[in-house]
Amino acid sequence: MTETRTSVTVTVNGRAVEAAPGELLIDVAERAGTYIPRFCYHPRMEPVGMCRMCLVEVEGPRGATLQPACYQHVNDGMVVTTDSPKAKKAQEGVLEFLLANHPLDCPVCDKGGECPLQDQTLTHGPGETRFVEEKRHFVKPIEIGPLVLLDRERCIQCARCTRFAAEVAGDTEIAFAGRGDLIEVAPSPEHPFTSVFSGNTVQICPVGALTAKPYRFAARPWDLDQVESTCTQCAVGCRLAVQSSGDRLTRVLGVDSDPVNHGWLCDKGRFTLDAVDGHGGLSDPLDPRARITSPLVRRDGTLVEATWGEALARAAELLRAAGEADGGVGVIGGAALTNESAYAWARVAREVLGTEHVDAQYGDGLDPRRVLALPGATIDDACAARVVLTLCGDPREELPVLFLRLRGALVRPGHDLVELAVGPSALHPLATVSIPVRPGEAHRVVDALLDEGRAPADLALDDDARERARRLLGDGEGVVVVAGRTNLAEDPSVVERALTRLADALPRARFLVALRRGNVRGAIDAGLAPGLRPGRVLAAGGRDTRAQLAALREGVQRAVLVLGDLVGNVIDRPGAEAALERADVVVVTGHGGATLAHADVVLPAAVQHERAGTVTNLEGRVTAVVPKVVAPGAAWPDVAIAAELARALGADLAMDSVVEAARAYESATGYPALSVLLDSTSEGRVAGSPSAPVARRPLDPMAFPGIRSAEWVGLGESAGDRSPPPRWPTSPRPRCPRCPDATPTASR
Amino acid sequence: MARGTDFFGGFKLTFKHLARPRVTVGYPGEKRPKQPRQHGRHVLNRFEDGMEKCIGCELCAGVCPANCIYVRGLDNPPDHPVSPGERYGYVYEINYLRCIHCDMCVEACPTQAITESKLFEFSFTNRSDAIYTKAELLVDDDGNPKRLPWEDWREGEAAMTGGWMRATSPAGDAAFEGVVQWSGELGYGQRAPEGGQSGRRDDAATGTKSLRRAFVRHLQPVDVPADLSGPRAAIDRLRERLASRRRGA
Amino acid sequence: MNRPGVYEVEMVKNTFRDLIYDPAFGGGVPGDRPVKAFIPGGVSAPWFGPDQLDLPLGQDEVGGQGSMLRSGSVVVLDDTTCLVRAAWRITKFFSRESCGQCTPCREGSGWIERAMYRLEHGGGRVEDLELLLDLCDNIAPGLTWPPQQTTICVLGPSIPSSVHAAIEMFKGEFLAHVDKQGCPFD
Repeated sequence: MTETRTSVTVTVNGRAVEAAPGELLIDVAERAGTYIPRFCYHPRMEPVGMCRMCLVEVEGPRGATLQPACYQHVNDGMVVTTDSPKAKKAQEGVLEFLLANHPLDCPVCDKGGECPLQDQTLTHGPGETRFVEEKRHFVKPIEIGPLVLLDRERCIQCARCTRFAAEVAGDTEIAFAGRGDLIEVAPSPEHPFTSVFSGNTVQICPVGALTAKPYRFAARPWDLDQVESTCTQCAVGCRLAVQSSGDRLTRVLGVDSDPVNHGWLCDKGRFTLDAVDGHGGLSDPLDPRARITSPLVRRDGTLVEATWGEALARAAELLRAAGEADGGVGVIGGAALTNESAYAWARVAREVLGTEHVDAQYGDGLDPRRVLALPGATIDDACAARVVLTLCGDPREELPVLFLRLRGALVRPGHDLVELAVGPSALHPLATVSIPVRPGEAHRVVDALLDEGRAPADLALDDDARERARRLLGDGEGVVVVAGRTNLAEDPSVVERALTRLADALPRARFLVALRRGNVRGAIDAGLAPGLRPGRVLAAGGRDTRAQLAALREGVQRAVLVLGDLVGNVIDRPGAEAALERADVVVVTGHGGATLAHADVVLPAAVQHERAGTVTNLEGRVTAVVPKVVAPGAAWPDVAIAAELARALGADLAMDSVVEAARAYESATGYPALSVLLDSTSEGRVAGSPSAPVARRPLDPMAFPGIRSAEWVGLGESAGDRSPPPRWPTSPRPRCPRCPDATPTASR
Repeated sequence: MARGTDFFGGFKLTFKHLARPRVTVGYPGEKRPKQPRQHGRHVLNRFEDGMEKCIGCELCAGVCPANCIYVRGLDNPPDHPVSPGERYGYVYEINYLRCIHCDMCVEACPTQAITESKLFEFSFTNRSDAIYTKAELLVDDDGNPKRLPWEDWREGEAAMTGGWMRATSPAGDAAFEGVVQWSGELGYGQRAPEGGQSGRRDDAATGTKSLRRAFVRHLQPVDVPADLSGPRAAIDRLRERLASRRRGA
Repeated sequence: MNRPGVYEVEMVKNTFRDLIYDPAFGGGVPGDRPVKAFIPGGVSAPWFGPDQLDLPLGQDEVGGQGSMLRSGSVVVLDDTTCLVRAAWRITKFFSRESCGQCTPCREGSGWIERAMYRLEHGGGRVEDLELLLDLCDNIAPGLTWPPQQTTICVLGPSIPSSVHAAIEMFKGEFLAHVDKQGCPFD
C-alpha cells in the first residue's frame, strides 16, 4: 500500500518549508527565499545535474553529503543546508572549474552585462584565478545556422541548448561531440541549425556561447530599455519582452507565460524586428518591407505625399460618394490590428459608412459564425487533453509555439494524438493514429471515422486505424480538437462541415480553433467579420472578402477600405488586382505592398511595437501590446486614424485615445480590454472566464537571462511600481510517470 | 582711543601680501602648468602597430554619469581589422556640452583606449562642433592627438594622459599601488607609477607636485603642511629658488 | 616485475609481498630494486607505500587502510620511477576518460593534468602543491576514504586519488621537481 501524501516538510537552512512530494529541492528552496546558484537547471526542462553548481548538503544515512539541488526530489523530513562551508566550497570550486576554460572577453561578448556566469562569479565565485595554463581554444565564432553563432570557447557545457533541441523542440541539429574538457556543442554535419526555434537556445544560454546574428554587437544590455508585450506574428499570442536602444528596436525575448508560451518563441516572432524600421528605411511604397511614413494621395495617376488633412478629406470624399451609391463600400483586412483599432474600424464601417461588408480574413480562414460557436478550449486544455485530434495545417509552420506546447504534452504518457493528416506535419511522429486526408475530403473522412459502417471505398481508409481512432475519441470526453484551415485551395466549407460533424458526434469534445494571422480572433470579436457585430453578435450577412472582391469586379461595390496589404495576402491575386483596379481604394497600412499600386489614398499607420492596445489569441486570451518605439514620420495609431476619418465623414466615435477605445470596446462587448491594458505585464484573461488577470511569475534571471524580471514595466498604473508582486499560483511540477506514487497534477 | 591704530592695523594684511611674489599670470598668453591628473579633452589611443585600442564595448557609455558618450560596435572586418579581437568601435562620439570630465570612462575602459589629455581650453561656436567623433578623438599615427582649430594646445598637455590611474589602480586595490598596469600609450612613452597615498612616491618622475605645496605662500598658517613651515622650510625654499635661478641661467 | 601476468590467488590468505615477490607470482622486482610505492587495485585507487606490503589481499583489509582492491590489478613502482610522472600519466588517462558531462570531472581532470604536466616538465611552483590538493578537494570533498564526490559518477573521485597520494607520500619529490624546474629522474 502506498500512501500518497499531499505535502512534505523539508528543512532548508534550519527553516521548515512545506512542499509537494516530488518537487525539486531547488524550487522548494527558492520559494522559501533561499536561492541556490545554478546554470544547467531550467524550470521548463528536465533537470540533468550537469553543472554541479547547485550542490548543497543533504543529511542522509551516511551523514551529510553533497547533492545537486536541481536533481533532488524532496522527501519528508529532508534536512538541507545550502550555506555550510562545505557547500560553499563545493560551489566556489565548481565556479572556478567553469571559469578555468572560459575566456575573459566579456567586454566584446553580447552576454556581458546580463550574463549568469558573470553574476554568479560576482556572488559566489573566487576573486582571482589560479589557472595559469593556456585556456582551451577554438575558432570563434562559427555560424551553425542562419541566425545563430556558436563560440565554443565560451561554452560551459550546461547542455541547455542541446536539451532544448532534443527535449522541447524535438530537433537533433545540435548535440555534444567529443569528451573530457574538449567536449563541444557541435552542429549536425549534415544539417545546419535551421530549426524554427533556434533563437530559444540563444536566450537560455547562460553564457555568450550562442549569440544571435541579428543582435550581434547591436547594443549592450545596460542601454536596453524594455516593455512586455505580446507577439502578433501568429495567433498563439506569445508573451515577450521588447527591448530597444535609443529609439531602435534591438531584441525580443520570450517571457515565461504559464498559460501560453512557457518562455519560448519561434524565430519568426523573435527576429522580425526589421519590419518595424522598414528594413533600415526602405521607402518604395510598393515594397512590402518598406514603411509608409506620410499620407499619400493619388494625383494624376501617381501617389504623392499629402498632409493628413488632405488625405483624410480625399478618403472621406471617396468613401462618402461610394456609400451613397447602393451597396457601395466595404472593409477588408484588420487581422494585424489591436482589438481597440479593430473595434474602431468596425464602428467606422457599420455606424459611419453604414456597411455590413467587413471581413478581417483574406479568404484564407474559416467562417467565424460556425467555428467560433463551437465549445472552446484553451492551450492548457489541449495540453491536458486525453486525446488531441488535429485537423489543421502543420502547427510547427503556422503556430510554432502551439506545436511546442502540444509536443510537450504528447511526449508524456497518457496523451494520444489522432491526426487527420492533410499533409506532412511535425506532429506526425507523435501520432497514435494517423488518418490520411486528401484535399476536399475532410468532411467525408470525418463522417467515415465516426460512422460504424464500412467506409466509402474511394477514401482508401484503413479500417483498423478508423477503429482505433473511434475508440480513442469515445464520446469526446477529454478530447480537444485543434482545427484550422487545412488547405487554401479547397473550399472552407469542407473543414467547417467536418468540424460541425465532430461537434455533433462528440458532444463533450472541445475545440481550439487555430485561425491564421496574428490577431484575427480579436478582429472578429471586435466586429470585423461579415455577419458578426462587435462581441460576436449575429447580424444580417455581409460580404466576406471573396464576395467583396467579386462585387468590386462586377461593379456592384464601388469602394473598399483596406486595412493592411490585401493583394499580397489574398489567394486569388490577379482577381484582387482586377477588383481594386475598378474600385476607389483607401488603404490604411503601416507597410508598403502591391495593394498600394491601386490605392487612391494611403493613410500611414503605426505597427506592432509602436502602438498600445490589447490582442486576443486563438484561445480567446486577451493580453496587452505595449509600444516601445515611436512610429516613423507622420504615421498614426489606427484608433486615431479611424476617429479622424469618422470625423471627416461627419461622425464622432468618441475615441480619442486607446484608453477610451478600450473602455468603449469593453463596455460594448464585455470582453476584457481596459483592465488588461492597464496591467500590461499580466498573463491576460480569457474572455468569459471569471478569473482575474494573473500577474506573471517573477523570472529566474538564470533561466531567462536578459529580461529584467524584477521590474514592473509596461503601461498603466502598475508601471514602475516596485512594490512586491502579487502572489502567483504555484502548482507542483509534473511528476515522473514511472515513479510509483505518481499522481496526476496540473501542468505548470 | 585705539581707533587710530586700528585704521593702520587694517592694512596689516595688505602690507604682508605686498612683499609676497605675484601669483597672477597673464592668461591666456601665459598659462600655469597643469597638474598631471588634470582631466581634459579625451583621446582615443592606438597600439604601437596602429590598431585602435577601442573595442566598442560601450562600458564608457554605460558608466558615463552625464550620458555624453555614444558608442556602437561592429564586427571587425577579417581582412582589415580595426582593433584586435572580434569587435571594434564603429561609432564613437562624445558630446562636450554634456561631458563633466569625471574620468569615469577612463576608469571603466578595459583596454585603456580612452584617456584624458590636459586640454580643457576649447570652446565652440556651434553645437555640432561640440560633438567629437572618432575622427577627432583618435590619435594620429605618431600617437598625438588631433589639434582642432578651436583648441589651445600647449606644451605637455598631450603627455601623460592617463597618469592618475596609476595612483589609484583598478578597484582601488592597494596591492597594485605603484605598478604600471598597461602598455605604453603610443607616442607618450611609459610613465613611472605614482605612489598613491602610501608615501612611496617619485614626484620628479611623475610630474606630480601637490597644489598645497605650490601655493604654500598663500595659505592660512593652519593649512600649511608641517614640513613646509618653520626656518627649515625657509632654507629649503631659498635653496630651491637658487637652484631654479641657476637652471634659468 | 620479473613475471608480470594475471594470477589467481586466494583472498586474505596471501599478502601483497607474496604477490610481488613469490616466484610463483610476480617473482620480484627487476634488478632487486626496492619498491617505492604500489597501487593496490587499479589506477583509481590511492597508493600504498612499502610499509603496507604485508597487508593481506582482501577487500576489507585494503579498504581499512584507505584504499581499495577492486580490480586487483597491482601496479608496482620501484625507485627508478618518477612518481610525479606516474601520477601525471594516471591523471592524463582520466582526463581523456572523462565523458565531459559534469563540471568538476571535466574541468578538474584537465586542470590537474596540465598542472602535473607543468610540474613534471618544468614550470612547477611551490604553490602548485597546495593548488593541486585544493583542486582534488573540490572533486572529492574532504579527500576522505571512501571518497565523497561532487561529480555525477565515481570517475570523479578516482582522478584525485593518485595525485593526492603522491603529494602526501612523496612531497619531497615534488619539491625536487620545482627546484630543478624539471624531472630529477631524467
